[in-house]
This record gives sequence, structure tokens and C-alpha cells, in this order.
Amino acid sequence: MKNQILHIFKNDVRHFWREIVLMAVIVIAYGWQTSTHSRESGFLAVDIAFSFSSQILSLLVPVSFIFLIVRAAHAECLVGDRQFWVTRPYDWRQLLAAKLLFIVSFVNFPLFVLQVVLLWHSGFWPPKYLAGLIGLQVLWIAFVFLPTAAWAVVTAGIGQFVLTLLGVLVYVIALTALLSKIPSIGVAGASSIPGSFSSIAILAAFIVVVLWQYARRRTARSWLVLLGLAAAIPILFAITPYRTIIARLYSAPTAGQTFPVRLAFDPTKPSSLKGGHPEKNKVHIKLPLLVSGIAEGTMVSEGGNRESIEAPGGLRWESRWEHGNGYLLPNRPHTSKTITVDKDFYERVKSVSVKIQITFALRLGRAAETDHVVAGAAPFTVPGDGRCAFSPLARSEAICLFPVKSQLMLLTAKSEEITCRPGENEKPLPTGIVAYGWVYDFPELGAEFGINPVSTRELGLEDFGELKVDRFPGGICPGTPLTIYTSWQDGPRYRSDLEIDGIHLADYKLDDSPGYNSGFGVMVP
Amino acid sequence: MSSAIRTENLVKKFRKVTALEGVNLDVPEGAIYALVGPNGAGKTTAIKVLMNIFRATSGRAEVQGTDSTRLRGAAFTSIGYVSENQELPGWMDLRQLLAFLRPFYPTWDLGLERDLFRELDLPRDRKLSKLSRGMRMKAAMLSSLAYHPKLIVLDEPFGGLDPLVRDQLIEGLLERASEATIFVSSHDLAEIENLASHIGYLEEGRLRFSEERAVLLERFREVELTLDDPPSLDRKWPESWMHVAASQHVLRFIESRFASERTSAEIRRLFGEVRGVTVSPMTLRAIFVAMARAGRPSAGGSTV
Repeated sequence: MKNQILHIFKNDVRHFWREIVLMAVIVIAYGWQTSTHSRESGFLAVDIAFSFSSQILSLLVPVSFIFLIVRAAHAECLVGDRQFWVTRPYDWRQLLAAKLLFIVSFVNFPLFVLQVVLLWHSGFWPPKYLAGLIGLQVLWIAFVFLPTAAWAVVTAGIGQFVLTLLGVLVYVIALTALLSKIPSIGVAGASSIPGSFSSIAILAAFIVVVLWQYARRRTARSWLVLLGLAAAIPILFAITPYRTIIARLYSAPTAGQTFPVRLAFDPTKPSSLKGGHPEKNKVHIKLPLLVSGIAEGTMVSEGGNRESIEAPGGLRWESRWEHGNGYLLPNRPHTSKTITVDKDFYERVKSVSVKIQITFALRLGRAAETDHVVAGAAPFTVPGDGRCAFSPLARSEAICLFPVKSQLMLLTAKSEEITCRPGENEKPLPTGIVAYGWVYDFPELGAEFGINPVSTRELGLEDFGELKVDRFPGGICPGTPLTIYTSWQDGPRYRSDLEIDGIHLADYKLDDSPGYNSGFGVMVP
Repeated sequence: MSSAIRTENLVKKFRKVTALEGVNLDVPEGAIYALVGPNGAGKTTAIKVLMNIFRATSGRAEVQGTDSTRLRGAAFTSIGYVSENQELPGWMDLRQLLAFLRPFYPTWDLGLERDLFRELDLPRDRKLSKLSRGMRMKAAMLSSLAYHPKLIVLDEPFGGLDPLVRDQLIEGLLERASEATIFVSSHDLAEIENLASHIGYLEEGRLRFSEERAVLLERFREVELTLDDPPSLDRKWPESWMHVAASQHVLRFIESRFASERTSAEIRRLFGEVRGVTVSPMTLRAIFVAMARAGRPSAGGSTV
């Protein structure tokens, strides 16, 4: 038979028409639900019901896709020695092509149509975002469809497939726990090498397994490939020389080099030391810092940090590299760094004068584009084709829709230009303050992975520096002019050492109340 | 005559269990070859290696001149394989199964399909999963014969079938015998005794013998000697004599390499003149029982 592809495809359609109808119903229900109830109605019961159904449908859509892929693969099961089809004149390439055609027709295509409809319904012209939509398909293939196909071709039935998935879930949990124990792994960029290798190896292994199973039906060896990979990944992460990578990524300063940021210890003692959190055998020390030198349109992110403390009598404590998650911004001269110290050591040195050295791994980010936008009462646009509007329910916050992918945005507004009116028990904002807000994205991916290609983000100002915002009418209101920094580009990485001498740790120890943040924090001097 | 199936030192191990141990098989084209042996002898394993369902641990197998490890795709257009434990697509009825399979085979014969339908008396519209075991075997047979395969491989096709169905299947097979090589395995000799032109006996993974049925029947004889004196069993007997037993003046044995003159000469060498010699032909069943009891390779095995 010259063309088996259509023949097998038609047979699968006949076989799985019920599953296809079920998938279509779920996809349509999701599309209808998402497009008609994307915003709050104001009625709590209705909103809860729709939120619940939305979550259920968000789960059912991928489950129905996965189910179809598994069913299609198992129709000509590649595991076992009793299948009638293995001694029939199937051409494995055509069989595989028929299965791919089935998946493209009843998984990729419905997903694509759903995403086109959702884009169109949100007011975005779908052809303009074709590349993004294709990117989304690639992500779905890489993250969901290909792994599903790989597990389906090495299992003999749905039950076995589900058990395998549970095994994979347990493995991922164990791997995550294991990786968190590896010193220095959390520093930004440190694990990118084993991470990239693992991602490529996983994708390659899945492709090899699918091809191998269809070409030769070598189930035991395919399992060996998958299990070998599962064993190799933690080993790869464990043997990676993170300290060397960190040293290369974050170069030590050279003579005459100017830093994009200057950090200094702030001798003013903090007025409040609330905000620690209980951690066994650890204490948290919050050190006030002074920040200067950050240019407009740039930010400095903390990739990681390492501390050492020296006390009289040769007592010394040193941390390993820890991940950092703070940002340093222009117009924010006060910040703090919270470090976690062994309790035993702290108890021995808390009342004596110590020397602290903090090494920061810092990354500079520069915004390539700056836009000035005035938030309008009517729907208004922001960079990245975002369409924003004020919700009648949310005070001082606009809701923005972004097609395919939101952009990383840093918003700023001057306090005197913020148009929100003080409410009851609120005072007008003092002048001369720059407020910041963020719209986050997923920088590693070309599209935002998900069913809905329209991402919803809140456009607000949450960082008012030293002001306690709950006493002021913070936020964005119609008429507020905003400066929006976008198209962030990675600048150089630096290692910066800060030495603090002659302080008593007891003066900076946080009590154990909620609100702990290991990164930079805005300080009230 | 060229071979439809040939194996050389075929070995298949499942971890520590050796299912096939150095099997050398030669099935001439046009033969009806019966691979016989007790349950667990390795018959199904051998067939699955031949059909490239299993991979041999060592040795090689050729099916219709193709290395069995390369047997896939188009090669199966001339092979019909039916197994008792084959899983058919239960969601289809027989009409759908045949409609699905038809385009795969350039030689599919609609007339033959209709004839087989009639002969085998099969329901067209019942789901395969709802068919009885006998019906399923007949359905599998129909779907494997309708395209005039050059090689028909049947793994325990008659086990547990009622005699009527079995006879129908055998009849259907015999009608195809002129145009195909048939390789059939069974643990029950009676099922295929009258069907086979060649017989192989597999036991514990070893092929004890493999030869033409007529030759086999010719070379096995039950011999009874009447002697002047009671014979002593405490002596070395010829390799080809099996189950030597004595009762007063009578000595009985099974000659596995019977040739009138050679056997007579052997008797004369050992006993001189004897009072009487009775030579009786054996049935296949008796030969297999003798072989199984002997538990050793046939002294006269021609291709072992």
C-alpha cells in the first residue's frame, strides 16, 4: 500500500470519534467560558462559580489533548508481543506520520483555533501574532505533547501511562528537593549550563524514544534511555562546578572600573526590626544599605550573594553562595540586605564588634525603550500591544491584556502627578517621590506558555519607597502619566564586595515575625 | 529445494531462562511443517523470533530469504501469521477489520475472502471483542489467508477449539497448501498429525529432530527379539536403540535408525542367531512418547 498515512489516520478517527467529540466540547467550553467571563462580574457567587469552572476547564483541556495522544499511540501499541498489527505490512514511517497527522489535526489544530479565537475576541488581530502562536505550539509540543508521546510509546495502556506519569511526578519532586541541596546552584545563571544540557537531552531522548519505538519497538532499551537520562540529570547538576561558573559569570572588579551601582553600609540604625521568620538554628540579620549611581532606565538585579563574618578571637563564619531576588532601582537610596546566619555563631558573637563582608553577584539591565503613557479613562494602550482599562471594581489599578506574551515593564510615576484621590483616612501623596510598578514576563520563552494566548496583567504601582502606601492613595488612576521602560537588555554582570566593620549583630537581628525577604528591601531609615 | 524458513544456532534467553538453545531449523518451501513439543518447549518463542516480534539472543533466522530481524513492513504482505494469543482490534467488527487490512495487501483476493467467509461461517457485524475464542481464531485465519500468503505461520491455532471448528480451519488450510508453505506449532500431536509433511520436535528449547514425516515413520520401529537364553541388560547397547527392556526370553527395544539389513546385522553381532524377530512400525504418537521418555537427542536425528 503506497499511502498508509491517510488509511491509518481515517481508521483512528473512526476509532476515537467519541474522544475527539469530547475534546471538542471541552475546548469549546473553555473558549466560551474564557471569552465571556474573563473579568469579574461583581457578584461573588457567580465569580466563584466561574473561577472554579475556569480552573476545571483549564485542566481538562490539556488532559483531553493528552488523552487523545495516548489513545492514538496505543491504538497500534508498541509495547508487548501480542499486537496483531506488528505482523502486518505497516510501514513504520507512515504509521508514525499517521499518528502525527492525528495529533496535528485533533490536538494542535484545535488548540491553534482556540487561541486564534481568544486573541480575536480580545481585540487582537490574529495574523499579526502568527509567529507568537506558532511559538506557543512549539512550547506545547516541547512541554506536553512530545513528553506525552514518549511516555505513551513505552506503555501498554492508559493505566500504565498514568502510573508512569505519577512516577515522573515523584521523580520531579525528588529532583527538585535534591537540587535545592546543592550549594551555590541558586545564583542566577549558575545552573544555566546543566539546565540547558538537561533540557536538550530530555527533548532529544523523547524524540529518540518515539522514533526508536516506531522503527524497532525496542521498549526495554527505550526505558533504559529514559531511566538513564533520569539518573544522569541529577549527576550532571551535582558535578557542575558552580563556584567556577559564578566566578566567570560575575567577574571581580578590575582597577579603575566603574560600577553601575554603588553600595555602602548605612550607619543609621533601623527603626524597626520586624519581618524575620522562624527558621531552625538560624537568625536573620537585616543590614541597612545606601544605594547610589543607578542611571534612569536601568536596574540592577541581585543574582546572588555570599557573606562572611569575622569576630575577635579568630571566630569566623562564612555562607555559601545563595540566590538573590532583589532589585536596585534609581531614586531608591535606601535599601537593606537580610542575611541568614547560623544561630550558634550568632550567639557567640552577637555582642561583640564584628566585620561583615558581603559579596554581591549583580546584573545590570538596561531598558532599550522608554514610553510615556497617560492612563486614560477609556481603554488605553501600553507597549507590547497591551490594552489596558480600569476595572470598575479595582481601585487605582488598570487591567491590561497582552497578546501571546507580556513584556517585562518597569513603570514609574511621580507622586505629584498621580491622579488618585485620597480616600477616607488617607492623606495626599507627598511630592518628590518616584513610585514604581512591574509587569512581569517569562524572559526565557518566546511566548507565554498556556492555553489562553492573551495574558492578563495588573498595571499598578506598588513600590512607593519609604512611604507606607496604605495611608496614601497609591496606584494608577485615569490621567496618571506613566513612564514605561521596556525591551530590557542584559548588561554586564559584576561582583561587588561590601565590607562593614565594627557593628554588633544584635543591633540588626530581625525578630521572627512574618514578612521576611532575603533580597534587597526598601528600608525605613 | 530452497527454504522458506531457516535458522542457525538460534538462541533466545529471557534473563536467566533459556527458551531456545541452538535451534537449527530448515523448512523447505511448500512444506507443511509441524513444530511439536510440550507446553513451554519454546515453540511460541521460536515463532516470535521468526516473525521479528522477539529478537534472538544469538544465532540467526531467515524467513523467505530475509533476515528475520529485518522482517517488517512490506515483507509481511506475503506472510500470514495467526497466533492463539494475538490481540485483534476488539473495537472493530470483522467487516471493518477486513476493510482496514485489504489496502495493505496488493494480492488481497475478494473472491477468496467471500469464500472463506462462507466456509468459516463468520458473523460480519459482531465486534471482534465479542467473538468466542474459536470465532476469533477463524477471523484471524480469514484475515491472514485472503491475500494468498506464501508463508502461513500458525502458533497453536487449534488449542481449545471444538473439533468442528478445528476441522474447518484445517480444511481451509489444506486448501491453501498448494500455494504456500505452512508452519504450524502445536503441543498436541493429534491436532496436526495428518496435516504435516515435515515434523520438528522441540523440547526444553532444543530441537530434538526435524525431518520429513515419511522418513520419520520409516526409521522408527519397535523390535521384539525372542532369544534362546534370558538376555542380560547389563551391556552397552547400540546408540540407536531406545528403551531396551527384557522379559524372560524376550528383548524389546525401539530402533531409531531402522534399516532392515543394518539392524539385522547389529542383532546378529550382539546375539548371534535368534529364535525370532518381530519388527513393527510405530505411530507418530508412539515415536514422540518414546522420544520424550528418552529425554535425549535422537540417535538418528537427521538435522538436529
